[in-house]
Amino acid sequence: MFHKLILALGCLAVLSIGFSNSSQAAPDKNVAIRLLPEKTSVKDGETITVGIQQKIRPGWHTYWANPGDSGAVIRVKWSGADDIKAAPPQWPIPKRLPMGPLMNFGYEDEVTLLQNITIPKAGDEQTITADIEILVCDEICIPETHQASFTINGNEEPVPAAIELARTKLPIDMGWQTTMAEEGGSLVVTITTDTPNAFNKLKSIELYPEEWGLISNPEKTSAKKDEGHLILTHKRGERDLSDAPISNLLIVYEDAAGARKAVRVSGVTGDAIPAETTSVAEETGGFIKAILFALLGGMILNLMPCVFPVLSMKALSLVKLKDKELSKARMNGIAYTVGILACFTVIAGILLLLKAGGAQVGWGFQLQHPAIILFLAYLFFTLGLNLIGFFEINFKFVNAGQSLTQKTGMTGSFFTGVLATLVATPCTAPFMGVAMGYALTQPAYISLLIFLALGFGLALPYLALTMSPALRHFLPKPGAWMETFRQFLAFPMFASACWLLWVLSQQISHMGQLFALLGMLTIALGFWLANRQPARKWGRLIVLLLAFLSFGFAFSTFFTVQQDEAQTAEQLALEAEDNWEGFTRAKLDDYLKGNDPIFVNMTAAWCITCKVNEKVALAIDSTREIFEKNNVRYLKGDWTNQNPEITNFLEEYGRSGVPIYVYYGPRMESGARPEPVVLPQILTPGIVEDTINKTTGNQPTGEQDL
Amino acid sequence: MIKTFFLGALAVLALSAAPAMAAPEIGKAAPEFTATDSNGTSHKLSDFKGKTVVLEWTNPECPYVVKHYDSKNMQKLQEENTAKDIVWLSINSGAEGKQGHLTADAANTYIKDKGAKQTAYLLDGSGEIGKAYDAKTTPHMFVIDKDGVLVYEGAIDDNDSANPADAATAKNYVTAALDALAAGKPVENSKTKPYGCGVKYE
Repeated sequence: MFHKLILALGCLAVLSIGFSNSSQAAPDKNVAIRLLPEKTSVKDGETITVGIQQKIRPGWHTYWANPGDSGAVIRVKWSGADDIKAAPPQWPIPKRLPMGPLMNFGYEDEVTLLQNITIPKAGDEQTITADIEILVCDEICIPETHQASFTINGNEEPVPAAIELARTKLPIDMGWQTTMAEEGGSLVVTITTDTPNAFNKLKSIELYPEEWGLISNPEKTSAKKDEGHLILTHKRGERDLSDAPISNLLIVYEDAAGARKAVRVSGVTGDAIPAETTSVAEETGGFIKAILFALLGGMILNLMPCVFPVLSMKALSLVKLKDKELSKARMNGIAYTVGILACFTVIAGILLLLKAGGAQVGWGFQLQHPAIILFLAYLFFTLGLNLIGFFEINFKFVNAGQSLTQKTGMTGSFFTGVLATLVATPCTAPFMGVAMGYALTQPAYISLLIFLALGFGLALPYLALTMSPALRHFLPKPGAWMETFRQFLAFPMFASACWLLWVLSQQISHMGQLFALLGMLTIALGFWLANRQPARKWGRLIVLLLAFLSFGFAFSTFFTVQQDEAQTAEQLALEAEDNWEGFTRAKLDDYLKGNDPIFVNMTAAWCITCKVNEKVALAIDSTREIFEKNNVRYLKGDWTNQNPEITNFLEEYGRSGVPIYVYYGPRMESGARPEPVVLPQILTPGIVEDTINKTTGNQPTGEQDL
Repeated sequence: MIKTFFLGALAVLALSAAPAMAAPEIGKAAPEFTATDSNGTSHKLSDFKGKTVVLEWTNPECPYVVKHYDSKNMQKLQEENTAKDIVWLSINSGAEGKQGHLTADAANTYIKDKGAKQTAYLLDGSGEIGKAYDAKTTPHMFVIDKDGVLVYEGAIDDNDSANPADAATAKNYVTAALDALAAGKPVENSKTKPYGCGVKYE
């Protein structure tokens, strides 16, 4: 104990001596500069590290190695001993400093550059001097000249602790393989690493090239990541890439705990060919895995509650088809598959287009628009009415529930496929989250292939039934039970319609909900009217007119649904009487600064998996108790409507849809937080409990916190 | 909501179709502009077709501009080149209320005090011309040939210090570009990093 005290006092003394000797700050300047030598007893030819500490007047700034649109780099000239050689300075992580439409890169408040100098003839006591020209600006710029010095082989004490501290502020070299290339007016930097998930937790990624003119400085960097790659895209600057074929780059980011860090990659060439050949091999592994996940996920989609009615209809048609020609069955199976694939292509295409335009969207985005939900609710309701025998559909395009043996069977199969896709998309099945997340970080054609694999997976069970007579013979024989079964299938349809209306109720006002219900009423009325056959001609005309008006009213409701965003946000806040709070990025960041563990749950009204998980594993007493006992801050994000903050959060964890559950363990004694844990997409109370208990042992008590 | 969705899709299409607002490119026509000088005379870039034009972004209070005026380097360049029938336009894009913004009278006083010899001193307080040229610093220099094609943009010379003594020893990029033009040769360094203070836009 006593030793430690003496050591600490010694350190203090050393620091104060060091500072008082080398401090050269003049009161009228905007920056005070002092030199911090790592060593002061120097042998001939020895290299020492010297810190050039700048204390900058509040509101003013100095510049990084690449100062950005204006500004200037510090100039340091060493003298005092003969032939001093100085290596290029090592620069701490810079900040973006906007000035009107221009952007600078530099430092505010305080910064210490490190420079290695070699002194060939150190000799006896002598003073090493740095003549420094530095530009310091707030809105206006003032070039300042400073002279700072320190003494070697004399009485001056070194300040290795200050140098160590300064080193912690430098970017680190992770050996990341990096290439850069110009693509469509952007600088595309591709970083590859063998460390799995190295990029997963990086946030707010910014690109800082040390060469000028490679990027348009005021623009923002956009980042895409997957397991082994980080792809940064930044609008190109005015300088030809051939003019600056090699540059060091800084990749600045926030880690999961919100600390600002940077990785420096050296000597990045504009020639992307060598790395590309290596990355293709690695990429195919991830690609094949993603395709397989997508196929499997698609097959599982068939069992999801929202897809089941559609599958039932198809099963019904197959029973009737059993004794019919094999080729017809095959054609229908293919038409169904084509319908699914076509629909997937269209939705994926829109998604990719929006994504390319910078919109924050993910898979399932189509259900974030109330008009589409309303349409699906009406569709399910109408199909239910049809199945129960309320009316017979004569429209050629909507005979999805009709027998496939009719002439229009092929079209019917195609549109059943389209329908299956529409209702399947919100149910992100397990396995699909990973594949979709991967898909959206890939070039468009790969994304599309993965979406198509998902669609093919969805189509596969039915396609197999139509293709293989053997499989089809497992189906029961046709008979009178079929009419009963068909009527029964109306109820999953109505159930789906109920669910969609409930989803809609999360998105629109009470008036909107009333109109949606009235819309259903008028659809039923319209069909009932249309089936009346009055004897007189004028009677028929009136009935037709009324039917037309009924349908017209239902149609008009599409134009009256308005998204009620304010209300949903408020709802979130009001409902916080529960054990959770509405997710915002600010709140998460706030809690991350504290010591308590945090549980983030991203959900949406239309996500059945989310609801089931909540019922089974989260909103139960035992889990509530565990949360309470461990002071878990429980944040819940609602992605029912568009929410860029949540989309961003999903992307950070490589996801493009909900649910996602992330657990941030409590701060450890070392002051750091453990790596956040992403829980599986299917939760059990045991999984939640295990995840929380695993980190509890490390939790410091409040008294130990300083 | 659905409306924003379609608007978004439309915007994507529009964005991909419309060329981005880009800085002027070397070898392409320099952006046309109209501006009023310190004497109230209006100038159009196209008025000078057939003559080589030099654009000099300036801010009387920027230390890097001061470097080139206190050393008389800028006045010398202006005098030498205007004598060769080259048009030299100094442009002040400093916004009103910002450092270095000049009224017409103040500009005339400044010209007289410094013995400046530019063809005209243009007042661009709105920053319109500055932004069209993506002028970033003072001094940021542009050279436009007789056909109105941009042949040089960037720094005035290769020494970005603020020390007036360095102006005499540095390699002057503008002189090099003008010499190349006069000799009918391509400009060797047609693009360099402009140095100095940021232009004080609004």
